[in-house]
Amino acid sequence: MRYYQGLIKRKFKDVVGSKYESIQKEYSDYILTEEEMRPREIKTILLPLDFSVTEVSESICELLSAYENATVTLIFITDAQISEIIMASLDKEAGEEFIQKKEDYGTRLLDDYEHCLNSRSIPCMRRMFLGNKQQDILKIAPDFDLVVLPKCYASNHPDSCAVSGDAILLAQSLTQPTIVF
Amino acid sequence: MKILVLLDGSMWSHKGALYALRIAQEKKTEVVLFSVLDKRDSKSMAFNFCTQSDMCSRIENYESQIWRDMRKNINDEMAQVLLFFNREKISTTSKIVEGSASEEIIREAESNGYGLIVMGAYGRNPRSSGNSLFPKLINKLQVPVFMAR
Repeated sequence: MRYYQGLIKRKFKDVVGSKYESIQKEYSDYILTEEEMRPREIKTILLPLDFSVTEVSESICELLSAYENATVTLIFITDAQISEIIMASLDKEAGEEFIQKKEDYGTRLLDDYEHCLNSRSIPCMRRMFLGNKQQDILKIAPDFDLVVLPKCYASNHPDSCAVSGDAILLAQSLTQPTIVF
Repeated sequence: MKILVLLDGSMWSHKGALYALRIAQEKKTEVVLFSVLDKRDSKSMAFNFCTQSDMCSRIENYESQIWRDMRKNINDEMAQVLLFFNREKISTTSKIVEGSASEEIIREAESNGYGLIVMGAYGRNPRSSGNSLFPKLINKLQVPVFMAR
């Protein structure tokens, strides 16, 4: 890759031969190999959604249209732990009502995002399930080339949230490129 | 949509530039390469060197030498990346400013109508840790941030 070779030549212009190899080995935490430097081909995109997302971001749909032939998987997760607490502290009916309300909201949100993406010819898949908003994303994410994360993802206070702790933690823990919006 | 690419000298930020290039090619957008020189970096490098090497009598010399090298290095880097982007027919400009990285980036991002900010996921830190700038930026910015890995 021309860009990579130029960069290495500039950064290590006073280093020759095997010395560079030993530096690369010793400082591998800071140096990318040529293979690692190559941007991923973005074919699969994960877009997690939840109750904290109050509106569709047209600008994100527009941005994702840059990845021709990529498929976006929309995932809406309802917090299983909260529904269990409601069931335990109130009753089963209250817990089921909680889940139903969240899933109704999720269905509308997924519809809106699907429309936003499809209108730009971006194919979509959708999933909705009860689970752990953070752990499940960490488990699923390795199957995708790019993760696109709402800033207040998993926040319990979306109205007053600037960015959620879960969004920061996920963005820093994932191993694939991530867009936070 | 205009893209702001944050270059901090790390290879991750260069990888970010390559991701930005692809988006810019596809969306036919303008790119601004942006770098912040922070005097505190040269100060801390000089201080660490002097305290580790027991040669603190020349700390001011170290600091000014490091500062000169940082300036030269980022100017050279910018020029090369700019050349590369222009060869790829992407309308690109570059800016180097002095100050606090988070403050200058937020100022730039908010005042010039960007649609995306691209940065390396690890900055100049080892890949085992995150980019310490990210939480500060994402807390303030209204623009999507792309973290390159």
